[in-house]
Amino acid sequence: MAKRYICLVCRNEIAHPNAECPYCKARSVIAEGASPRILGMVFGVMAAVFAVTGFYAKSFKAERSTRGQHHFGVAQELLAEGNHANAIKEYRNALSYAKEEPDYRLGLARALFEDERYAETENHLVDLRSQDPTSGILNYLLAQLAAREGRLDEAVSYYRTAIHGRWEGDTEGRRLNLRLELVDLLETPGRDEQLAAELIALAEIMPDDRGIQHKLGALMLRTQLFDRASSLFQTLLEADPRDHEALLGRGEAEFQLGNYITARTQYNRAKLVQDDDATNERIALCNRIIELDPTRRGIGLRERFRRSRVLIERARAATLKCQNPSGDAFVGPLVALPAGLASALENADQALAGRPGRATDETVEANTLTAEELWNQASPLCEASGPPDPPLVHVMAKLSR
Amino acid sequence: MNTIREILGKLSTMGKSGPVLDEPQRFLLLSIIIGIFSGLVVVCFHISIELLNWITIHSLAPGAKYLTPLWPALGGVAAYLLVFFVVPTARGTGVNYTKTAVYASDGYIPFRSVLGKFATSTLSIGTGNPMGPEDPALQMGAGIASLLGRIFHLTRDHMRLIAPIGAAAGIGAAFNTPIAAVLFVMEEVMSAWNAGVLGSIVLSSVSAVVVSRWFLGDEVLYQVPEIEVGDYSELLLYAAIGAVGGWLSALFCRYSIMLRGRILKLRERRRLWLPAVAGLAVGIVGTYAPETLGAGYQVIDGALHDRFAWNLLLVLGLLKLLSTALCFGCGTPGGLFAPTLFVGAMLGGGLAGLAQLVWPLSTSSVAAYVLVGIGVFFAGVFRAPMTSVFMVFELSASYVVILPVMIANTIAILVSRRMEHDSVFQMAAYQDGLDLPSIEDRRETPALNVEDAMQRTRDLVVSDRISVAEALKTIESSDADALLVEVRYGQWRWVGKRELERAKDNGDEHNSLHKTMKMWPVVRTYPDLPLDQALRKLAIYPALPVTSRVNPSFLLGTLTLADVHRAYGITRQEPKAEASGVGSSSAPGAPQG
Repeated sequence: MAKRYICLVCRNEIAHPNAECPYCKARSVIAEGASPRILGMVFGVMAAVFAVTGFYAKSFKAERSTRGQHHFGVAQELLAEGNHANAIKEYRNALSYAKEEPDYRLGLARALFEDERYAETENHLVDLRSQDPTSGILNYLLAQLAAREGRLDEAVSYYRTAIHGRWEGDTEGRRLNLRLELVDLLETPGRDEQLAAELIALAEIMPDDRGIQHKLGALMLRTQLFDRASSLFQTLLEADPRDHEALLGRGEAEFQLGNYITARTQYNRAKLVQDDDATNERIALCNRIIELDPTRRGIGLRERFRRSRVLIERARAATLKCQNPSGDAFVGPLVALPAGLASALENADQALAGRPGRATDETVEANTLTAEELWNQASPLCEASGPPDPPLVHVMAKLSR
Repeated sequence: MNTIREILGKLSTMGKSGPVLDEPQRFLLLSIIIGIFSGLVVVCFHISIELLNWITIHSLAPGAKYLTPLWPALGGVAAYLLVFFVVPTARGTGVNYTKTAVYASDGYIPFRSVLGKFATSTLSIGTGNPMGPEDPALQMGAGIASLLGRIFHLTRDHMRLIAPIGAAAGIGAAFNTPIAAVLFVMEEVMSAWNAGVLGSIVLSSVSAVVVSRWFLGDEVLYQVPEIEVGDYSELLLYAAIGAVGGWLSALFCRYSIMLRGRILKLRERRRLWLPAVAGLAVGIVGTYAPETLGAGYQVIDGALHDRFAWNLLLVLGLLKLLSTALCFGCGTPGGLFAPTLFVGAMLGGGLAGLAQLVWPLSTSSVAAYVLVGIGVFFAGVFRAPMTSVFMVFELSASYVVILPVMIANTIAILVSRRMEHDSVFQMAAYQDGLDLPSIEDRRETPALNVEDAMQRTRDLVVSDRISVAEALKTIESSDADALLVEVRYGQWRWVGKRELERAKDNGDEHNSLHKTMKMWPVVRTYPDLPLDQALRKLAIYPALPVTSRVNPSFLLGTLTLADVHRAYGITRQEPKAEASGVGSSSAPGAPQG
């Protein structure tokens, strides 16, 4: 910035500071600009101030860091002791020295969570998560928070992010634990689909713990993953053939899959381990189903034919019972039967009328179809009044499969 | 060494092929230098306050907490004694000091005041007094700029502009919000939107913030959580916060200034111990509510994260309000910026908590209300609407909350202004015997334009074919000193009354103007131009044709000095003697404005 001389009156530049202004004849002159020497001096001072400030700032940061770590250490100890209120205080002190230190903030969030101050906890966690969205621990804490506050959808979402998030140390172990926690969370009614998805994922990394395996098997039964439940219980039985719970579980899984003989076998084994009424009832039901099932292997054509007719009779009886649950013979149907049901009943009557024909594969097939058709038509009626004949229901279910 | 000298020389001198840097560029370069220096000083200031704070209020020594009530008192009195005996120029608010420098002392701010402000504010804020470092930083920036301006021998005009440039750098570095700093300086220090200096202010502010972040890190003052604004019915709540905040800010201004006025009436020696009394009160309050000590940025951060219950927020806000008013009134060094934000945050958060209990519809997170509260109280106290909005925007880095902030701030300003006409700085300035301009006063005094003064007739416009006698008759029937003569469509010249009279005396009475008279060229003016610009032209031309900007040949009217007088309501005196020449001529008795 070269030094220039400016007339204070007319603002024109003048050659010399003592000269009269050639434009307005004034003598009021001011110097403007600076010599290179002044500019150099200013830059020199700037460099010096920069250096001093740098030293000052470095010392300050070091002291700040020391103080922050001191408070953080105290806070960690207090948190471990369960002294949440003082731990929070110390975490805050630590944060006052290093606001953006994620460990301090995470520690504070944990302490706040333990102290059940959820609103503030969430604010801190959300802040931290915005900086590190894939952090496993942050998503896990947010999931726990959401679960405690009853926001299940959010909790599930955070759990899933945490499962696939970044962890330090035993990543697989942590993920397994998270999946188990998530399964626990999803045990609430109405979330069977989500639960089933998690169980399938868990089946791939099944933990060794038999207790957990029993629990997961039961949940698989609940979510209708019968195949997986059966194989899980089978695995358990290979290790301990007298595992009563596993025997019952496998029996139930096979029963639901329509393998009534296998189911009966499992129930009988369970009975040998521990005899109880429920198991006996289950065995009896299996027996009745097996005796009614016309598709069972190993029975002759005549027996199949007989069973197919019994099937029609029981389907007809069940239909009539469903139509008139009170069983009052004098009260006729108040509502006209649907056309399909009437026709199915008529077909059933015709099949049962007169002497039974010859037992052939075709007649067995025809009877079975008649029974199935009648049952299909009657099912809506029976849904209201409850299943009138449990073995029939199971056989029909098996036939439809 | 020679190379460096050469570079500096090239930077500063004019080479054979002309200057390397022209005047505006050199001014911009100086703005950056100011920004860097201010940033460095503010970094040191910030660190010094923190260090003192650690030594006193946040000491790790056992038993140190029992000394808490004493530290603000000791700090306050030490700072005040320093002001009283060593650096009296460090007294008062930085905004008013800088403003005075701009409007009354050609941008001169003694460097001693920078050192004084540094020391006294460090002592005061570092020991826990509830004041903020932004206002002192503003004054320090302005002082540094003034010193550099003097070193570089700037002209008076540039010296006047240099102080606000430094002020923006100081406040930008202290608060880490470059845009808000620029706007604050425009609204509060310059009290005008000066486009000419805007670039320099932005440059200095940004370079100061860069320096500050370089040394102190990118940490923002507050970690603002994610904000979602809920139902639009909530705008009613925000409006209510605006009204309450405006009312409270006006009360704060009124009573703190009243207290200050009473204390100023005491003898100066008696005032010496008042900061100690105020500090002791602050310290006692701080023992039970340590959140009220110091600038309180961390407490605002806590409020943003829903740390406090709504009733505690309101109590903290009230305590801070009272302690700040007490310290401000007693003259404890420090600024009002940070405490204002604190009170606003507590107010917003507290009312949000209350609203969540009673409001039937969904409400946003507390953080949104805290931010709105910050903007509201700031707007109410300082009457800087643009700064208050952009500050919240810079703090939150989110547009989500801008609409509520704008609504609430506008209401706050309206309510506050209704109760107290002036901002806290203006009131303090009046109390100190200063009459400084404010942006509100300027807004209330609209500038006149040419269209407000011009004559929308062709009474002063004649053809060059008319005779001298007719022209004289026309001019005598008006209060003008000259006529505009249309020589061709869209081209006018002027002729003076004296020349016409001379032509008449010479016997050219019946000759036409174009044959007889020498007529002078004239420049056009436009209706939308400020009257000030037209006046500059009227200094050269006695009458101006006012034409359309779309069709400059189309005459809309005329403008003379008499019209301007009329517009400003100036009564022209009857000439005492026969005047001669244009401008001082025999204007007939001017009509009243």
